[in-house]
Parts: sequence; structure tokens; C-alpha cells
Amino acid sequence: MIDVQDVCKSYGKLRAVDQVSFSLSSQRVTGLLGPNGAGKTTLMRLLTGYLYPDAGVVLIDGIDIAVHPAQARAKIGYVPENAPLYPELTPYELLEFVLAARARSAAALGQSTIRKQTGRRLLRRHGQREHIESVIEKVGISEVKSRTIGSLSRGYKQRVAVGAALIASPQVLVLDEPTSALDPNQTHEMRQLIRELGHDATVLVSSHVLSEIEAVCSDAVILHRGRVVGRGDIASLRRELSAGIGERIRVAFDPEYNDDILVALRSTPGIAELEPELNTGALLVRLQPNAEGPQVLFDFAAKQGLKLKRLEPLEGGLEEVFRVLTAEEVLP
Amino acid sequence: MNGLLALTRKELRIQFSSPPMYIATAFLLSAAAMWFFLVHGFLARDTATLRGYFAAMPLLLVLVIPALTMKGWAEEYRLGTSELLLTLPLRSVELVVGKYLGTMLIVLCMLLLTLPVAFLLMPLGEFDLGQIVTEYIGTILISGTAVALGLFISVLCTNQSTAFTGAAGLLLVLTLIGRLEVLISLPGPLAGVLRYVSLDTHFDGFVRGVLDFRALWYYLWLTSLCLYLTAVVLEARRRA
Repeated sequence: MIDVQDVCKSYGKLRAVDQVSFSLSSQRVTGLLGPNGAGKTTLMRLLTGYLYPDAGVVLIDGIDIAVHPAQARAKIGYVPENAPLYPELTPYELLEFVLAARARSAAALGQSTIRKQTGRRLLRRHGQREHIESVIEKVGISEVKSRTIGSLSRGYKQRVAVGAALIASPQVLVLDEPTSALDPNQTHEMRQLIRELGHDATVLVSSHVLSEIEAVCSDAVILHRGRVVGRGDIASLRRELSAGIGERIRVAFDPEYNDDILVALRSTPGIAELEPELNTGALLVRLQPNAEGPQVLFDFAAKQGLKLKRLEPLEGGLEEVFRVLTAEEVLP
Repeated sequence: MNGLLALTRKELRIQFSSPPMYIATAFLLSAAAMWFFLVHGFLARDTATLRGYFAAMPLLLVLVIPALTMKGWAEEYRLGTSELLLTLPLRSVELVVGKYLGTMLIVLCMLLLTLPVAFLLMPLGEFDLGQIVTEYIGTILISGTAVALGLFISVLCTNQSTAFTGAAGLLLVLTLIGRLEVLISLPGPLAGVLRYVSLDTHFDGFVRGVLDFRALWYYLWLTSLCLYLTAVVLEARRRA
């Protein structure tokens, strides 16, 4: 549904997006991860046709967005970062405007028969009002639909922006930090909504909150300094990249560790990282990728005359994978 | 086409909820009336013509039109709503024309509010109805060009105050440039060029009751050029 091929975008001398390529298939929710300045927002702007790439191609359902921008954009719903909206309009008026601009244009631009029929159906005034009301209910803004957007809280504005992205039932949804202004209950509801949307549309969600990506996304693309440093479904991404960065193990010795043991363990070949775990007396150890599993810890305990009280392999979290990938130089 | 109308309606809604529109309307109506009755001295003259009323329009529009167009594109970029607008399935030309039509409808509403002046004065003498019609046509044409110029300046700016200052400055120059030869002596061809470029020079004929097709062509050409350049800048910003 979304096909990105060798896309580059620079602002002056700064290369914000550098030869990015990936494909997103239909009916999947994909997370776009990356630290600040990684190029996430620029990439989302390229995918939605707000910006055109300096090089490379963005295809939306096979349509080059730089060549046929209106046709490609008719398939996309977009929630920009910080949900910018017209403060003078009410949520109802905004949704009415976006629906009119999107549904009518979709019909005029010769979208698929189903889309045309949807467009025509939505054009019928009564059907249009019902449709807008259903979206208002879906995103939970019924109680503020007649107030001006300028008087709404950030959380409500964010939900209005999501409503505007959903209003024309797009095939592709691009959401830039969709829960950044929501409270925990609203965040939970929004995640539920995003998961539901993934049943019908291709959804791309950017977020700094890794738990959010893990909670709602089946796939992830990790960006660092404008380049893709990891992509795939989250389970295999976590597995493969954990293998690449070394196994993590929780270990406890008897007697408990002291400074001498920490110094000796740190200098032991095969140990990449070492961190005492608070209040448990255990140590969190990350082995070198080529280390022979926990054997290195057995050998260390024997050499130091310690008993192994606990040895527990840990599953690498997305957060650790993200931290390692984005803390270092771009991987080849 | 329908997307364009949706955008026009959105622009109208935003303009009607924006204080500068009401301030500009009040300024236009009161300043034109004060000029006509107090400075021009219509009641003291024994002539049944609104020529003095409309002659003031080009200078008044120098302040009124930028107040309407300053938000146009500059505010879209400042608020970030350009991301919402420019990712709609509308072509750049539709976006530009939609915004233009929205602002022009506001200008037409303003001009409608000047009609009572004409209706109230007409029983006082034998006014030339044809002349009043050409005066309105001229005012609509010069306003249309000023709106297109104002929106073009707005797309080049990222805040409304710069857009207002830029548009007002440009309109002032284009309005007065034709009269420069009154102040300083200019070579004949240069004076001719400046007269041709001036918005005010072309407006004179309409005020005198002449439907000048060369002036009509000038306003339509300049309006189209500004709208085209606005669309070019929008596209260039996508590639910047």
C-alpha cells in the first residue's frame, strides 16, 4: 500500500531523510520510531505529499505522490504533529470541511468504484451529517463539537485532528504522535481505536513512547539520522536485534556482589554491559554478541569462588533495541 | 471543483469569525463616507455623481485588503494548518483559487454595504446609473487584483504582520506610482510605463463612467499572474 524507494530529503546541508526504503502492506499498524531529529516528521510529510522528495519515489497504492499528488493524497488521512487546526472553526465545521474537500475530490479524481460510491453516499446531506456524527462519537468529541477549536484542551484538539484524518475513510492513515497530549484513559481509548483502524487501513504511527508502539503496532521501522536502521515485525525485530546486540541475563551470586566483583566482572571477556539491579541484589548483564551464552558467567563464578544463586535470561525489550541502535553510529 | 467550493466556504467561515474583517469593513465604510462628505464636500457641490466616493477607494483598499489577506497563507504556515490543507486531495491551483474566492466574497459583502450610500443619495439628483455601475465594476476589479497581490505576499511570509506590511507597501506603491510624474519630472516613456503599471491609472476610466476593456484586461491579467505565482510558490515550498 505504501512503497518508499530510496527517498532523500535535505534542508540546506542537513540530510533529514537519507535513502530510505520500505514497504507497508495493507491492514497492518506500523510504528515509526526514532529519537528527536531522526527524520520521522519529515518522512511523514513526504509520505503525505506535504513535501516532495529530492530523490526517490513514494508510491501510495501504486500512485507516485509527486506525479499524481491529488490522486495519491485522496487515499491518505493525516494527523500532523501537535494536531494543528483552525481555532475559529468548531470540530463539526472542520470535519464537514475536510469531508467535503476529501470525499468530493475523491469522487472527482476517479478513485475506485467503492470509493466513488462512498463519496457520493457521503455527499447526501443527511448521510453526511450522520457520518460526521458517527466520527465525532468514535473519537469522543460529542460534548465539544459545537465549541470553537481554539477553546478546546490539547487532548480534545488531538482527537479532533484524528477525526479529521478518519472522516473520509482513507485507505492509509499517517499519525504523527497521536497520543502525545492525551491523559492515560484517553491514550488507552486512542490505542484501541488505532488497533481497530488497522483492520481496514494501512496505519503508520510515529511515537517516542516505545510502549505505545509495542502496544498498538505489529511492525516497526526504526529511523536514526535519517536512515532506516531496523524494520520488520516487532517480535522478530526484537529477537534478531537482541541477538545482534548480545544476550541479556539477570544474575545473582552468593555472597552478594561487591565493588571488587563488579570490577572483575566488567573486565571479564564476553561481558558487554553490567548494571546492578536496584533492591534485588542481582546484576543485569549484557553479553557480547559473540559470547558463548551464560558459560562466561559460570566460569567467572568458579574463578571467583562464588555460587550462582540466580541465572535468568531476559527477553530484549524494544526499548533496549531502540536505545542501542540509536545511541551508536548508523549501522551498515 | 467541489473541493474548491468547500475551501471557499471554510475561508468565509474563518473570515467571518475574525475581528480584522469587521475592523476593515468599519474602516472602509466610515473612511469613504468621511472623505466623500467632509473632505470632498459632496453636499456643497452641485453635482449628482459618486465620483468622489469611488475615487477614494484605491487608497482605502491599500489598508483594507491587506487586513483581509494577511492571514491567508502566512497564518496557515505559522499555525501549521498548512499541513492539513496541503495534504488534502486538491491541486495547488484549487487551493489558491479557493482562498481567493473566499476573500473576494468578503470584499463583495463589504461593497454591498456601500450600496445604501448610493440609494440614499440618488433621490437628491439625476445620477448617471451607468456611471455608478462602472464605478462598482472598477472597484470590484481593483479589489480583485489587490486581493490576489495580498495573497501572493502572504504566501511569501510566515507571519501576518509581515504579510500586512508587505502587501500594504506594495499596493501603496502600485497605486501612487502613476502619479509620480506630478512630483518629479520623468522621461516620457518611463512616465508612460509607470502610468501603465499603476492600479490607480486604470481605475480612473471606470470612475468617469467608461468601461475600458484595456483596463479590464490589465486587472484580469495581473490577478491571474498573482494567483499563478502563488501556486508556484506553494509548489516550490513543497520541494524546498
